[in-house]
Amino acid sequence: MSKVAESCFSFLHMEVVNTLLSPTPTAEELQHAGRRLEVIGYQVGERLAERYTKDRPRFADTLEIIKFICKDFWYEIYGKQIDKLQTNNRGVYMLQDNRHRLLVRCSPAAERQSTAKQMGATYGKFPCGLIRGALCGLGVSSSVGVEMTDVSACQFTVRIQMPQPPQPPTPQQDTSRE
Amino acid sequence: MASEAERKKVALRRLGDATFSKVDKVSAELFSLTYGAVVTQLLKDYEDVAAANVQLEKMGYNMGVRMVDELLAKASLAQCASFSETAEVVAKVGFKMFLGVNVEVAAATSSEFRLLLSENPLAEFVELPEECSKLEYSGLLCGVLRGALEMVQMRVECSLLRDTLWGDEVTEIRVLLKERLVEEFVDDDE
Repeated sequence: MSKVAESCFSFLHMEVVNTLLSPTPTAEELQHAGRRLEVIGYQVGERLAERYTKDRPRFADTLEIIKFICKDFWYEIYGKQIDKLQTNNRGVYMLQDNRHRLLVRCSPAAERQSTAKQMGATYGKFPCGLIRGALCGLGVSSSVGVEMTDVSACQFTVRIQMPQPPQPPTPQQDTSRE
Repeated sequence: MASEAERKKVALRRLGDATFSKVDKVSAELFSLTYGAVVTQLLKDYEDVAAANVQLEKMGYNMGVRMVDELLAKASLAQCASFSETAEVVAKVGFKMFLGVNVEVAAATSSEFRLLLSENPLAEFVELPEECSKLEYSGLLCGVLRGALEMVQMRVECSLLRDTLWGDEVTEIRVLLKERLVEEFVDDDE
């Protein structure tokens, strides 16, 4: 399959982030840019998932789909797999990428140290979108969040949105604490 | 003399291949689909094809400024003796190293050259709808060339003459040398 240099992709991504932000971005701007990046990632993820699964047998369940994302999908895109997968078995999955390829080239400037984490989270929004898009393309609707655990490590939290089963009445909360 | 030029071309092509095999790579599909999504977003934001063209070129410029550094760091290049040699380096090493494609140089003179791309990873999976027929989808490449060459002291003007997306057989970019910039050194103390 054809390849392009990773640096080429990184520069494109950097430039996209750049066009969405002013030189000294406010928290609100970062959030807005993050949403836009997520949408771009979503579109890409949806299409890639379709391409990468066309010769595969059907997935049996959601866990298998998540495993596919962690292994094959991530490998096709980033040339590495997700480092750690955890789940609470109730529709929440934690995907840990210890050395995310988009982030290894980042080094926040001194005057931006205070917003470095937020900036990193903005960069993480694109892969968030990739995951959500891919899942959606495979018939699983979800919401995906990202948290930066280190400069180039990030953790994605995938919450699967179940088709709403009839909810049992929620037990009354203990109100004495309030 | 002709054989000398030929030898140089072969050497540059080898250098391009070697450099491309050395760098980290990602799937070309990821790249082209991402670029596609970005262009779509820009068109939605600006609601105007001409404004989107300008923006794409600008993005390319900023990328080119960084890419030339990467090129000089990864490929061991000697200084170019002439503008037509620059053309060969851009085509055989630059395009090869970043996009993995082979690009031909045509009509190279001391102030102008044209690049012919028969394959263009940017435009994979793309079809321009009627209302965007004027979109310079590969205008990013023009920007990249302008940014990269400016960093090595050449102010150029690039234009997209032909594009496969416009129904042409190849994508053709014209690069016009406007000015050789002189490096200025400013003393910090004064």
